[in-house]
Parts: sequence; structure tokens; C-alpha cells
Amino acid sequence: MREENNRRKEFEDVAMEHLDSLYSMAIRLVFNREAAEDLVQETYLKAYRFFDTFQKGTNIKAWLFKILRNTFINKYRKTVNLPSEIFYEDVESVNSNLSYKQESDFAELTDTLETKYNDLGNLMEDDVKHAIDNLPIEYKEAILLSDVEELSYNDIAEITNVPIGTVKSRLNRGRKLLQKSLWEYAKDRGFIKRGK
Amino acid sequence: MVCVETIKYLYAFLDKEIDKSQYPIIKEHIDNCFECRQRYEFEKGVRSLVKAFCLNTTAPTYLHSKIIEGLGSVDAEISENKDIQAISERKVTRAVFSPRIYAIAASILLLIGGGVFYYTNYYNYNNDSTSIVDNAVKNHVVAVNDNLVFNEKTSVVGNVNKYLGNTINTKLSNSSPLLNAERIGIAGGIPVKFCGTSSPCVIFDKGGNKLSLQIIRNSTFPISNLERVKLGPKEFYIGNCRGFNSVIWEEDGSTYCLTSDINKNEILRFAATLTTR
Repeated sequence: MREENNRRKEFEDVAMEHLDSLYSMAIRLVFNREAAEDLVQETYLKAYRFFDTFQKGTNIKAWLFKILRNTFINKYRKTVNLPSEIFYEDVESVNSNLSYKQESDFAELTDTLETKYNDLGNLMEDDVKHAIDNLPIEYKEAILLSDVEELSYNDIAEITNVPIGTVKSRLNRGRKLLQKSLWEYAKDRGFIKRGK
Repeated sequence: MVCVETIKYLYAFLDKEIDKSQYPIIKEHIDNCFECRQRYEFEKGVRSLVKAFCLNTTAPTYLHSKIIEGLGSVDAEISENKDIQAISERKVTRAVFSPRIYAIAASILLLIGGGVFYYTNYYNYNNDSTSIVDNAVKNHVVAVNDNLVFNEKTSVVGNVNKYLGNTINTKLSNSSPLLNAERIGIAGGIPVKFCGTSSPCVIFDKGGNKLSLQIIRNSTFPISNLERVKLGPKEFYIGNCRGFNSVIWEEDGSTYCLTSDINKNEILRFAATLTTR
């Protein structure tokens, strides 16, 4: 029994501090508080069951995110019945044409960078939320893992099960898409303001 | 360092994924180049917006205690399993190391080649209902995860080797709803007249959940220590082991066992649809 208590204590010590991070990711994946809570709880219970397999000294946060992602995909696939990776890759290749176009649109605007930077100040919390939520899922997860959780490319590659090069290109495209949509929201807010 | 290169490495620089020796060079350029600095500040601004928004999303306080509670039930489950394991290990030890059993097994082996199966049968017939469920669950997990369809422990009757060739379809992906339609006699959607190992798990796919059906006895036998449920004219026994539910019932003189990780009511309903066909 004592052995279990130690295991439990160790798990709580190292894993529970990442609750907010996991929840914040979960809600960006499922868009629903209740579903996010379920997803996070399932992740923790699964992690605890398999805590023996966690390699001590490696990044527990990355390990937890990987379990969260797998749990999400399993659930998602069960209910919506989507084949995961192949589907994602297809989306990526479709999007790549799209984003090149968007990238060039974006480049035309770089001379107004200062205006844009100032306009970001007009953004409301909801705008940021919508901009993130509307990103294709593989861009979104890469951005959140990198920009919010500050995980290394290596960890993100491990979590999302793709090579580092793919992580980098997802971050590149994803960030550009995100900036574009944020900028559009900001512009709208700016017009509203000036109109008054 | 020129602007093109700086912009190229800007993300890596911001992500702290750049070679340490490059870091001061890029930083110096950003400090001294108005345009690159603007770009850098813009990227940083977007990042901090996203970060601030996400960090603002925190888990509700009750979720923490709910999870801690959940960990407790995992603990309870683990220690329960340990107890079961300890009991069955004790049994096995006795069975395996008793010199008398050794002598009997050896003489049977020497006298008749196939005798080993009878020995196995004898041993298995003495199993109680709880270990039958445990075996069914193990078999289920093996069948679903490894696409394998055999488990010596549920082998009761029949010649194992007969089915060990390539005749069994072990590819779960193209086995839905039936794993081995050729080898198993099917009547009304369920396998008949093959049992034990020779009736490998038949896997049903129910909305992504896998259910496995095994014939565990080609006879009826007394079931004890399991929850009994009457559904229409039919009687079912429900067992739970390692987080899986099993439903056992008898039909046409055979004993069937359906196993899955779906909840009790669902698995019971599914069992009922199988039997009423």
C-alpha cells in the first residue's frame, strides 16, 4: 500500500501542476467546457495508469500532451469517424496552395506593419479566440504547444507524431494564417472605432 | 547578417531553437535594423496576445478534486487486480509445482500425444466463473489489440493446431463484423459449434467500439458469483474484470461470452440482439 501512496504522491507532484495547460489545450480542441473537462480527466487517469511507462527525467508536460492528443483523436475518430493522419495531411496540402496565396497577400501589407501593430491593440478577447479556433487543427496544436506552452520543436514533433520539419512548416503557415485573421479582426475593430 | 536571413530565422530565434552562436548576431541585427525590429515586435505582439488569451483559460477548481478522486479509484482498482493476481498465482504455483500433477501430466504426455489437451481441459473445467471472465477479458484484449485470436487458457475442446495455420484471418481491419467467416459456422450472425480456441473471438464493431464474442464451453455449466440479469425470456450473467464487462449466456447447449469496454447496459443490449436473431 505504501508503494502505491508514493506512486500517487509522485504523480500528483509532477503532473497536477499542468492541469491548466492541458485544460486550455483541450478546450481549444473540443470547444466545449464539459467535453474539455472529460478529456482532461481521461488524460490524467490514463497517464496515472501508465505512469510506470513514463521515462523519468523526460518532459512530463510533453508526455501528458501526447496522451491528451491521443485520447482526443481516439474519441474524435470514434464519434465523427474520421481517419486521422491521412486526413490531416490532405488538409495540409490543400491549405498549402491557399496559404501561399494568402502569404503573398500578406506580404503586400508588410509596409503597414506599424499600423498593424498598433491595430492589434483594438483586438477583443473574442477576436483572439475566434482566430485561434478557426485554424486548421494541426496548425492550432503546433502554435499552442510552441507559443503558449513553449515546448521545443523536438517535443512538439514527438507529441504530434510528425518529423521536426513538418512542425516547422506547420508553425510557419499557421502563424501566418493566424496573423492574417487577427489583422482582419483588428481592421474591423479599427473601422468601427473610426466610424464613431 | 542581413535582413533576409534575419527574417528567415526569426521564428527559430523567437522559439529559442537557434544555435547559441547565432543568437547574439541576430539580436544585434534586430537591435540595429528598424524594419527587422518592427517585424520582430509584431511577431512578439501576436504571440503575447495568443499566450495571454490561453493562459487566461484556467481549469475550473472542481476539476482538480474530481481528478484526484479518480486517481483514488484507479488505486483501488490496481490493488484489487493485485489481489486477484496473487490468488491466481498461488493456484498456478500449486498446479504447476505439485509433483503429483507433474507425474500425471508426464505420464499422459508419454502415453498419448494429444493428452495434453485433455489435461488442459480438465484444469479449465475446474475454473470458477470469475476466472472465466478474466480469461475472456484477456482474450478480448489480445484479439482487439494484437489482432490475434488465440488464448490457450480458453482452450477447452478441439484441436488447437488445426486452426494455427494461415486459415485464420488475423487482420482486424477487414474482419468487421466477423473475424473468420470461413472457418466459423455462422447461424443468425453468431458462430456456432466451434468453441474454445477453435472458436476465436468474433469481433463486432459497434460505432468504433469493439466487442468480442467467444464460445467458452460447448456445454452448459453452473455459473456462480456473477450478477444475474433477466432480459425477456433470456438469462444473462454479468462479470467485470480489469475495467471490461463480460456477458455470459447459454444457448443451444453452448456457453457464449461477449466482452467489451462499453458499459453494462449497452453490452447487455447488444448481447440481447445477438440471442434474439
